[in-house]
Amino acid sequence: MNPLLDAEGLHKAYGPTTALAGADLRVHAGEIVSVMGPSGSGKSTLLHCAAGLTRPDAGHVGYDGQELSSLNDVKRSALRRREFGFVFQFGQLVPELTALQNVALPLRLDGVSRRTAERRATGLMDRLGLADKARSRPGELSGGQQQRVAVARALVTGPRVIFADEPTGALDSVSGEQVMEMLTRSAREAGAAVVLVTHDARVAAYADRGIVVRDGRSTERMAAR
Amino acid sequence: MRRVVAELALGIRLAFPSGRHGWLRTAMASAGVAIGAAALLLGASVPVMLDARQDRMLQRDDSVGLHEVPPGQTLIVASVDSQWGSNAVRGRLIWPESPAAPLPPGVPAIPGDQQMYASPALQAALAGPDGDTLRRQMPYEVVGTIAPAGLSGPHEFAYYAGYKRAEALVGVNSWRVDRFGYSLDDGEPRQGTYVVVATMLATLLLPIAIFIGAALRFGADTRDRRLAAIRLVGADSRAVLRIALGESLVPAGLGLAAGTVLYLLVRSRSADLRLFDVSVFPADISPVPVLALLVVAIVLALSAGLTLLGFRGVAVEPLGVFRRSTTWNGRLWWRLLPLAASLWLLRPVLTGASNPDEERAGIGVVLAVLALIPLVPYLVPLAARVLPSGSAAWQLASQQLRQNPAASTRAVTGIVVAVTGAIALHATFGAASARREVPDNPADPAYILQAPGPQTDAAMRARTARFESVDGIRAGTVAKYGLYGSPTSYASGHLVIGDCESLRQVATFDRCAAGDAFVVGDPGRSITLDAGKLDPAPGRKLPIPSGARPARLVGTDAQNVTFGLLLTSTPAAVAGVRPWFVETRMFASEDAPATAAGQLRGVAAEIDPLAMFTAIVPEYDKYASLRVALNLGSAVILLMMGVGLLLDVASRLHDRRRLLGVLAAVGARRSTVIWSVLLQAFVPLLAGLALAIGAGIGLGAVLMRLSQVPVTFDAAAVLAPVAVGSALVLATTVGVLLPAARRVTSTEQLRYE
Amino acid sequence: MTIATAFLALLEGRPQHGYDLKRAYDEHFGGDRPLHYGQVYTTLAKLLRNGLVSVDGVEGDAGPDRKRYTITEAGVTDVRRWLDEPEKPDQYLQSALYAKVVGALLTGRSAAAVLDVQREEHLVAMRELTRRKQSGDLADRIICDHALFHLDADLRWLEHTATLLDELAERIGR
Ligand SMILES: Nc1ncnc2c1ncn2[C@@H]1O[C@H](COP(=O)(O)OP(=O)(O)O)[C@@H](O)[C@H]1O
Ligand SMILES: [Mg+2]
Repeated sequence: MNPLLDAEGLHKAYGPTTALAGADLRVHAGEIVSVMGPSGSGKSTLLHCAAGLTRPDAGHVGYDGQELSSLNDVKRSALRRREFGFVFQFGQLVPELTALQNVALPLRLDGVSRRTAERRATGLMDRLGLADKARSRPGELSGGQQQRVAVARALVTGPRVIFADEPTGALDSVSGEQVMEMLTRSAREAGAAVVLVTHDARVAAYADRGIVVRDGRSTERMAAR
Repeated sequence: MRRVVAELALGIRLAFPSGRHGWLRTAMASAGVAIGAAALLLGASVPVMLDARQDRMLQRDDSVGLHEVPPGQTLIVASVDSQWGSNAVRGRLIWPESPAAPLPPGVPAIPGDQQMYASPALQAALAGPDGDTLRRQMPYEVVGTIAPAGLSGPHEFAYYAGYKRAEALVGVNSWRVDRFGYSLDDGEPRQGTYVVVATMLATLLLPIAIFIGAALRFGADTRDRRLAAIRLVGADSRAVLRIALGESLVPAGLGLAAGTVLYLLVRSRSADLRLFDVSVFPADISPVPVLALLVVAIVLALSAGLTLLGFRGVAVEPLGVFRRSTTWNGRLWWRLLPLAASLWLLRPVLTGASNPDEERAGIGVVLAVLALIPLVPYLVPLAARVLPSGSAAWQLASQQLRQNPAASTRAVTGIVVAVTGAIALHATFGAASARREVPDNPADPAYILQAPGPQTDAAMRARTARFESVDGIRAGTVAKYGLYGSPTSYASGHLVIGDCESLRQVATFDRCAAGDAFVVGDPGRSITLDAGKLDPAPGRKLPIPSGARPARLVGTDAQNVTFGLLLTSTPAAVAGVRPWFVETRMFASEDAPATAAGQLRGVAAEIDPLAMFTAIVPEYDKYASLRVALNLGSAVILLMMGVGLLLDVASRLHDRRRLLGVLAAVGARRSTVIWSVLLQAFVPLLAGLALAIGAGIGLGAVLMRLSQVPVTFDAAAVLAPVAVGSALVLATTVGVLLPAARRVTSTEQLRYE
Repeated sequence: MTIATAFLALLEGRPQHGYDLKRAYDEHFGGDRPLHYGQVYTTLAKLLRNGLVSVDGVEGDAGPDRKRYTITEAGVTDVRRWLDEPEKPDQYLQSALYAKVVGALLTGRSAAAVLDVQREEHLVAMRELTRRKQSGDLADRIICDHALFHLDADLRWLEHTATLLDELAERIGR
C-alpha cells in the first residue's frame, strides 16, 4: 500500500544551522507515527516540512499523490483547512474567540456557514466532553483544556492527517495523558493518521510505530509489532 | 464570496477582543480615526461655510460702483468702515428718501436719525471695557440688533445708523441704492475655494495618516501572531489580509461615528471661534455632500491602506510572523533625493535671485519639510552609533534603536515635521511683524485723517490740538489742494497750507516763520488750482509769492508729488475755495498707549464720521490671529504626534515586556531597565528635534527671503515649538510610560507568558 | 552477557593472550569483581571447543600462558548476534546494556545502533503497556504506569548515554 504522506530525503538549513540532513517520514492512512529525538534534532522541522509549512531545501514531500512543494500558498492553505489538523505545544488558539468559535474556525475559513460550522463544532465538543467549555475563552481554560480544544479543532474538518508537535509539552503528566488519550482515540475513530512529535517516550508509546530523528537524520526502524 | 464575507466577519469579530489591551487597541485606533474624520469633515465644510458667508455678504452689498442710482424709492448710504483693535467695523450711515426705501438685510426698520442697529458683537464691545472710547466712533442710540442674515459671521462688528446729514452728501461721501445685493464682481471663482480646501485636506491628511497609522500599529504584533495562528488552520495569505482589513473596519466605523459626533460638537461651538476676522454661524457649517462622502471614503481607504501598508515587509506565515529585515546602511542617497530636489527648487531664493518664482519656492518649501521624513530613520541609528556607549541602560537602548530604527522613529517623524514647520513659520511671522511695526517710510505718520470741508487756519490749529490731547500723539493739520498741471504729463502738484509746525511734517526746508512760502520742484511762475470733480479742470490761478524758498517733500509724498507750493497762511485768493481735504497727520511716540488708535478714531468720528481715517501703521498685530491659529494647529498636531508616540512606545514596551521581565528577573536594576526604555524614546526625539531646529531655521530663512523680510531669528520663536514638542513627549512618557515600565519589570509578568 | 561473549568482543578488536584478555575484561566489564585465571582458561577452552576462537601461535615455551587467541568467523557472527539482539526490557539492565555499548565500541560497530535497537524494544513494550492501560481499569492503569515510568527512565538513560558515546569511544580507544 502506498503511504498517504511520503517525505523523502529532506534537507533544511537555517543559515549555518543544519536542521535536517536527509530525513524521511512515511505515514500510512490511519496510522499513528511518533517522531522522537533529542531537542534540536530536527523533529519539528521534519513535521513542518511534511505538513507543507516549511519548504525543504531538498527532498520531496508527497501527499496523496501530489508534491507539496509544487502547490502554491492557496492550495497548501486549502490542504491545511481540509486535510490536515494541527495541535502544537501552545499558542495556536485565537484568544479573542470562544472555544466553540475556535473549533468552528477552520470550517468558517472554508466558507461553511456560521450556523452549520458551529453546529458541527458543538457536536464534536459534546463528544469530546468539552460541552461545558464551549463559551469560555482560551484564557479562561487550563492548559489541558486548551489542548483538548485544539484537538477538537484539529479534528473538526475530518482531516486525514493530524500533525501534533509536542502536544503535551506544556502539560503535567495527568493532563498530558488525557490529551493523548483523547487525541489518539478520536483520531483512530475518525481514521485520521497522526504524526506525533515528542521527546517523551510515554507520549510516543501512544503511537503505532515510531521513528527517531538524530542530527537531522531519521532512522526508521521496524514497523509496528 | 461566502468565504470572503466570513473572513471579513471574523476580522470584525477579532476587533472586539477580550482583555484590556485589546480594547485599548480598538479604542485608540477609533480615537485616531475619529480625530481624523472630524478634521476632514470640518475641512469638507469650509466651502459651504465660505459660500454661506459670501452669500450673505453679497446679499447686503451696496456698492453701486460708478453707476449712479436716480432718486426714487431709494436709500442714501455712506460707508463709515473703521477698525476697533483687531476687529474691522462695518459701519453704514443711512437715510431713506422714501418710505419704500430698501431695507438692509437683517435690519427690521430704518433707524431714526442718530439711532442705530448694531451687531451683537459690536453691542458687546460697546458694553465692554473701553466701550466709551469705541462709542465716540458711533455715538448713536442702539435701537435694535442686526439679525444673522445681515452679518458675515457672529463676531462681525457692524452697524446701520440713521444719519440725516447723509442726504446732503450724496455724490461726495454718500450714494443712493434702490436695493441691496449688488454684485459687481462675481466674487472669486468658486473653484478657487475648492482648490484651497483640497490643499488643506491634503495637508491634514499627512498628520492624520501618521496618527491613524500609529493607532492601528498599536498592538499590531499581537494581531500578527494571532493571524499566524489563523493561518495555521488554513487561511491563505490573502485571507489573512482580508481578516486584518475586516479588523480595521471596526475602528474605522467607530471612528467615523465618533468623528461625526466630534464634528457636531465643534460645529455647535463654532460661534466662539474666529480667525482673520472670519467667524461663522454653526448653521453655516455643513459638509458638501460629495466631500462628506469623500471623507468617509478617505477614512475607510486610509485605515485600509495603512493596515495593508503595515504588512509591507511582514510575512504572516503559519509558523509565525517574519519580518524582512531592512538594511539601513549605505542607502542614504535616496533619502537625500527629496532634499536635493527641494534645494534645487529653492536655489533662486538661496542664491538671492532678484525675483524668485513664488510657486516654485512654495513647492520647494513643502518638499523640504517632507524631505525630512526619510531622513529621520537614518538619523536615529546614526545617533545611536555616535553617542558614546556607557551605561548598561544605554547599551540596551542603542541596540534596540539600531536594530529597528523605523519602529523607533515613526512617531518622532511627525513631531520633527510639525516642529520644523512651526519654527519656520513662527520665526518668519516674528521677523515680519517686527518689521511692520514702523511705517514703510519713516517720515510718514502713523495715522492720517483726511476730512472734507472748508478750512481756516484757526480751525486747523484747533483740530491739531484735539488730536494731540490723546496721550503720546503729535499731530499737524494742513489743507491740501490739487493743482492743475499739464494734462499730458503724469506730474501731480499740491498746494499745501498749514502752520510751520504742520508743514515741517510734510517737507524739509531751512527755516520757517509765519508768512513764509516754499516751492517744491519747479511750479513755474504761478500755479492753477484743480477745480474738476473727477476730470481735471483749471480753477483759480495763484502767483508764486516772491521770496518763496525751495523745500523738499518727505515720506511717500516725495515720490508722488513732483511740484507744489507750501504756504504758512491762507492767501485771500484761496480763502473761499474748498480744499480737497484737510489732512491731519498723527505721529505716535514710543510710549503711546495701545488704545491710542481707538481714541484717535473716536476723535476723528466726532469731527466728521465720514472723514477718511487711515492707519498707516497697523493698529494691531496683523499676524496675531495667524500666530494663534499656527499655535493651535501645531499644538493639535504635536498632541496627536505625542499620543502617537505614546502608543508606539507603549506597544513596543508591551511586545518586549517578556525581555524586560527577564532582565528584571536576572537582577538588572529597575532603574537600568526604565532608563533604557526612556532612552529609547528620547534619543530619537532629541536627534529629531536637532534636525527640526536646523531645518526649521533654514526654512525660516528661505521664507523670510521670500517675503523680503531681513533674516533674523528670535530665540523664543525657535525654541517655543521645540520646548512644546519635548514637553509633550516628556509628559506622556513620564506620565504613562513609567508606571507601565514599572508594571512590566515586576517579575510577576513572567508568569503569564 | 557472558564472559565468553565479552572475550569474543575483546578478541574481535585484535588477537590477544589470555593474560591480556583478563586485564581488558577487568577494565571494561568486570566492575569490582576481577576474573580469576580459572575462569579465563575454562572460558577460552569452551570457545576453542566451539570453534569461535583459534590459537594462532605459540611463542617461546608451550603453555597456556603464551597462547595467542584469534576470533573466527563463527565468533564474529556470535558477537554480531549478541549486539543486534535487544535486551529484554527488564529492570536493572544497565550493566548488560553498558557492556553491549562497550562491546560495540570495542569491535568498531555502531553503539548508537545498539541503543536504537534497545529503544525500539522498549517502545514496543511501552506501546503494549499503553494499549493495555487504555483498555484496562484503574488498577491496571496504575500498574501499567509503574512499568511505563521505569521503562521511560531506562529510555532516558539510553538517550543520555547516546549523547556520551563519542566521549566513551575515546576513553576505550586509548
Ligand atoms: N526558524 C528557525 N531559524 C533558525 N534555526 C532554526 C529554526 N527552526 C529550527 N532551527 C534550528 O534547527 C535545528 C532543529 O530544530 P527543531 O526542528 O526545532 O528541533 P526539535 O524540534 O527536534 O527540537 C535546531 O538547531 C534549531 O535551532
Ligand atoms: Mg520542536
